[in-house]
Amino acid sequence: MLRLRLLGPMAADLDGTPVALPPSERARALMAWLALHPGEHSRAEVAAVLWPDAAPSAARASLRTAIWEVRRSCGDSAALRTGRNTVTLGPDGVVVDTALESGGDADPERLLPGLDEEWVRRARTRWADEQGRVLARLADGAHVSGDAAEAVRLSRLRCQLNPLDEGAHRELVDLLLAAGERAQAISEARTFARRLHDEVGVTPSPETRAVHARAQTGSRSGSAATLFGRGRELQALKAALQQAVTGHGQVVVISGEAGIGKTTLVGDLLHRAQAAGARCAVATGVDVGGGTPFGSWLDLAEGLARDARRVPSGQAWPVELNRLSADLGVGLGHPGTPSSAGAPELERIRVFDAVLRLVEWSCADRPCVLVLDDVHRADRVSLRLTAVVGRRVTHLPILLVLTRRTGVRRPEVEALLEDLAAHGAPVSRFDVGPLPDEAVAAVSRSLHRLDAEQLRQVVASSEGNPLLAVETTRALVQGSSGPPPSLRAAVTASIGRLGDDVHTLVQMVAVAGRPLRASEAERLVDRLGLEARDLVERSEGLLAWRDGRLGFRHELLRSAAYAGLGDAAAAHDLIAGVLDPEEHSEIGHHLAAAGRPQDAANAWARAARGARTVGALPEAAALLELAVSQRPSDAELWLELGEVYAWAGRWEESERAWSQALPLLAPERLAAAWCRRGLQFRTVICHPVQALTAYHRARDLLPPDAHPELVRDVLQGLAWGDAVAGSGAQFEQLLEQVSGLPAPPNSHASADALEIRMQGLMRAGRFAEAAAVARGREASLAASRSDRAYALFVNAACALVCVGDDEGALAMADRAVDATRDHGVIGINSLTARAQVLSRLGRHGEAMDLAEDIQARCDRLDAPRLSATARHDRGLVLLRAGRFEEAADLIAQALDTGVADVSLVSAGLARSEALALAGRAKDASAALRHSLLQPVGPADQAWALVPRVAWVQALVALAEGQRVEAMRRLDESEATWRSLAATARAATGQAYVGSLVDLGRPPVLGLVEPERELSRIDRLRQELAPREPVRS
Amino acid sequence: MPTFALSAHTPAPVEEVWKLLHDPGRFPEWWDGVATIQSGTPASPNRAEPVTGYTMWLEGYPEYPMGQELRTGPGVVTVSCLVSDLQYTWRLSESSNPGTGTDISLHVEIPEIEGHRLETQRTAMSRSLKQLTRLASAS
Repeated sequence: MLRLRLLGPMAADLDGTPVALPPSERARALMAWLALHPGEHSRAEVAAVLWPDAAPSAARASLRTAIWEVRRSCGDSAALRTGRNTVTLGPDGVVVDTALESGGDADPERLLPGLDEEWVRRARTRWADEQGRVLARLADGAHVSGDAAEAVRLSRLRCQLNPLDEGAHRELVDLLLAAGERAQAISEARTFARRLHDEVGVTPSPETRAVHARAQTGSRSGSAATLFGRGRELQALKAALQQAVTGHGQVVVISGEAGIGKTTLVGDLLHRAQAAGARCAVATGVDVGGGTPFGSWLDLAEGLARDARRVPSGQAWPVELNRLSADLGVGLGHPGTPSSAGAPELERIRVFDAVLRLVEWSCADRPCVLVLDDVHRADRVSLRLTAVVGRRVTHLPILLVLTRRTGVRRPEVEALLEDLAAHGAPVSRFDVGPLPDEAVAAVSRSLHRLDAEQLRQVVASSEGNPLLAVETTRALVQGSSGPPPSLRAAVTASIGRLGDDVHTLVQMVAVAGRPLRASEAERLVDRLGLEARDLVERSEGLLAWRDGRLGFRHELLRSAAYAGLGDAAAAHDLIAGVLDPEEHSEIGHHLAAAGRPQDAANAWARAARGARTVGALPEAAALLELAVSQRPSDAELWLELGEVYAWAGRWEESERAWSQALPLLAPERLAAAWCRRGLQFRTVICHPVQALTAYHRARDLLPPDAHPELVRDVLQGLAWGDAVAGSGAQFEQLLEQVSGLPAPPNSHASADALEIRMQGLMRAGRFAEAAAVARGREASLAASRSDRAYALFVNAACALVCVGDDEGALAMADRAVDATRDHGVIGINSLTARAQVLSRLGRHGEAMDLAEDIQARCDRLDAPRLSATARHDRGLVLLRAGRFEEAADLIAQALDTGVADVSLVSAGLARSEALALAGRAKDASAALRHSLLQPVGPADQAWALVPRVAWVQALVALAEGQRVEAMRRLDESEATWRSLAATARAATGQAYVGSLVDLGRPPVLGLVEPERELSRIDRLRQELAPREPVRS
Repeated sequence: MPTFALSAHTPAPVEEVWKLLHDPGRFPEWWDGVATIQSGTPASPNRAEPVTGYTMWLEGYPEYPMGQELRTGPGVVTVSCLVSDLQYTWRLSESSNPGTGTDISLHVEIPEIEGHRLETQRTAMSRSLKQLTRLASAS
C-alpha cells in the first residue's frame, strides 16, 4: 500500500519500500492533492484545481505530463490508476501521514511546505483543527494523570497551531496555573492580549479576561479540579459518551438535590467531550416566569451553529431557523426571512423540523453533546422539542444529557421522559448522591487549607453536599466561628465582605435570574460604571464564567443572594435595560417588577408576537394574559389574546377576550375589529356563516372615510362568504368592487381574490373556469407565496379532476409540489394531492412510493395528526392499488389514533371496503356497523354516504359468497347514485357534489363523484355477469 | 316546550335504518305526511356541524315548500323544520344482543306556539316509526 508523508519534506513508500518522488513540483502536488482527496476523480476536475489559470486543454495536457512523471518515479501502476477521463491515487489504498512527530513543530505551514494554493491553505486549516483536537485530548490526559509539564507542552503546541484560538489559550493559562507557573501564565496572558490587539484589533472576550484575572490573582479554574468522589458517575457518563461517539446516541438523565454537583459533573464531561473533538452545546433553565418559547433550544442551536459547517444552498431549513434567531441562519450561510406558514401549528412544526435538521447536520462531521442543565426550568415547547430530538438519537452520534433537581415536580419533564421511554430511546438515569466524607474534605482542601477541626466541621455540616462544603469552607476561612446556619446566611456573609463594585455586580446578576451573555454582562458593567477587570475573581467564588456566560456558580447561590435583597425595583429596571433587546418576555418581567406596568405590557405583547411566529400558542396566550393584567383597558391586547385562544382551539376564552375588547373599542375602530373577527372565523375557526355575520357588521360600521385597505378586506371577506357558503351570486360583483378601490397593490390580497374566485366558480360547478384562473398570469404571481400556491394549484387540480382531466390535474399538483417543496407541511399537502391524482390515474407504483415517503416525512415531525392523516391517505392509495390488507391496517391505525384529519364514517367505510375485498367478510361487516355509529364528518354529504354503504354491503355479500345479495346491493347503490347525479347535475351543471370548497381535503377527501361510482358498479357487475359460452 | 318520545325495535341491522334516516330522498316512503323532497344546498357551510339542507312538501300542500335541515351526530340524526321550528331527533343503537337488530328512539320538540299539534304529531310519528322499522326490515 502506498504511504505518503505530507508534513515536512514530502516522502513516500510502497509497502515499506521507499519510493522516489517525481522531481516536478506539479507532479508532487498532484500526488498530494489526490492523497488528501481520496477516491476517483475526473481529469477535468484535477486539472482545474492544479492548473487554475491555464485553458482547459492546456491544463489537461499538463495533467497528462504530471501523471507520466508520477508513473515514471513511482512505478507504472502501483501509485496511480488512470482511465480515459479519471485518475485515482493508490489503487490499493493510500495511507496519508500528517501526524505531528514527537517534539515536532506545530506550524501548519509545515504541511506541503512551499505550496501556496487555495486547496493547500484549506488543507492546512483542516489539519490545524484536527491536530488541535488531538493535542487538547492529549493535554487533558496528561493533566489528569498528573504530568503537568507534558500537559503544558501539548497545550503550547495547540496554541502554536492557531495563535488566535482563545479557547486553546485559556486552557494553556489554566494549565500553567495548575502547574504552579503563575509568572508564565501572566506572561502568556499579556502576550496573547497584545497579539489579539496587534493582529486583529480586538480585546480578549470576557471569558478570556476572567482567565487572565485568575492568572493575576493566582486562582485556578474550578472546571476540572473540583470534581471529587464522582468516579462511578463519571465512568457512566464516559461510557455513554463513548457509545454516542460511535454512532449509538444516548440520553442520560442525571438527578440529584440542589448543589450536589450535577452541573460540575456535566462540566467535566463537556471538557472531555470537547477535548475528544465533540461539538458541545449547553442550555440552562431560566428562573424567570414565562421564559421565551424555545429559549432552551435557542441556546442549544446557537451552540451547535457556532462552528457548524455552512449548509449548501438549496436547503430551506437554515432559513427556518431564523424564526428563533436571525443569527442562526446567517451563521450557516443562509440569511433571510422565512415565509409565513399561515397557521401557528404549522410554524411550530417548521421550527421543530429545522432544529432537528440542524442537529443532524451538526453531528454529521463530529459527535455532539447536548446538555439541558436544570431541565425542570426549561420552557415548555423546548421540552417538547427535546422529546422529538431524543427519539432520534439512536442512530446519531449524540449524547443528550438532562440534569434535574430531585423533588421538583414538572409534569412536562415527566411527559418527556415517558415519551422517550415509549419510543424506545436509549435512556439511562442515575442519581448523584451525597459525597463520601473524604471527598467532601478534598473539595474543601482544594480551596483552602483548614485545620483539622475546621475540616471536621465542613464535613459534618455539609452532609455530602459539595456546594455547602464550598460555602462552609469559605465562611470558616473568613473567620466564622462555625458553619453558617444556612446557605443564605453564608451567601449574605460573603456578599457583605465584597467591595462595593463587586457587591453591586453580584446583586444585579442575582436580579437577572439567569447567567448573562457576554454582551449583556458588558452592558451591565458599563451601565454600572465599573472597571471590568477581575470583578469575577473578587466575587468570593459566587460568580463564574461558564459557556461564555456570567452567572452564579450555582442557582442556589443566586436565589440566596436575591432573597437577601431589599427593594429590588431599581435593580430590575436596570437589568431590563441591559438584557438583549430580543428577550421581550424577560424584559417584561423585569419591567413589571420595576413598577412599570405599561412598558411591561408592551414587552409582553412583543414577546407574544414572537411566540406566535414560532407556533408557541400556549406561551403566547400566557404572555398576553400578563400583558392585559398590566393594561386591562387596551382593546388591541384583548383582540390579540382572543385570536391566540382561537388558534389554540380554546373557543370560550376566545369569546371572553372578544367580549372584553368590544366595549373598549373606540367607534372608529369597530369596523376593523369586526373585520378581524371575520377573518378569524374565516381562517382559524372556519365558520363561514359566523364570518359572514362579522363581515356584514364590519361593512355596516365602516366610516365614510374608511381606509381603502380596510374596505378591501371587508369586501373580500364578504365575497369569500358568498363564494363558499352564500348564494354564490355576489362574489364576482364584490371582487369587481374591490378591484376598483384605490387601495395600494398588495400581493396577499390579490392572491386572496384569485382564490375566492376559484372557490366560487367551483362551488357553482364552473370547474373549467376555475382551473383557468390557476393557469393565468396573476396566479403565477400569487404563487410566489407557498401557502397561496398550494391553495391555487391544488384547488385547480381538484377542478380538473371534476372535468375529467386527470392528466391536467397531475400537472397542477406538480406545480403545487414545485412551489411548496421547501415549506414543510404545505409541501406535504401538495405531495399528498399528487399521490392521490397519481392513484386516480392508475399509476399505483408511483402513488404508493410517494404515499410511503409522505408518511415517513410526517413521522419525523412531532405532529400526531399529520402522521395519522398520512397513514389514512396512504391506506386509500393502497386500496386503489389492490393492496387490501395493508390498506385496511393503515386506515385502522389512523382511526385508532383518534386525531387523523378524516371523516370517521368515510374512513370507516374505506376500511370496510378494504376488508371485504381482502375476503374478510365478518371483519368488514363489523367495521361497517361500527363506522355508521360514528359522527358524520363535515366534509361528508350524508346522502352520498348512503350509496357507499350499499356498495360496501355488496362487497361484503360477495366476500360471503352471496352473489344474489351482492347484485341487489349494487342495484340499490346504483339507484341512489343516479338520483344523486341528477340532483348534482341540476345544481352545478356537472355531476359533482361534495365539499369542493375549503372543506375536506380535495382531491383526497370531500369529493363525491356519482359518475365515477357508477362506473365502478358497472365494472363489478360485468365481472360478476355469467360468461357466454365461447362458440367454436 | 311540548315534547314527546317514542321508541321501537327493528330486526333490521343498523345499516338499513341508518341509510333510510340519512337519505331525505326516501323520507316520503316512510315519514308520515311527507309527499315530496327536493335536495338543497349540497355543501355544508359549517365545518363544525355537518348540515344537509333540503326542501319538503307535505301531502295536500303542494304550494308550501318547507325548508328543512338534517344534522348528524354519532348514531344521531336531527331533522329541524326551518318554517315551524319542529325538531325531530332520531337515535340509533345496536341491540344489546348483537345481531338481533336495531333500537330506535325518537325525541320530538314542538315550539310552544304550536303546542296544539302535539297529539297529531305523536300519532303521525308513531306511524312513521312503524313504517321506518318495516321498511328497514324489508331492505
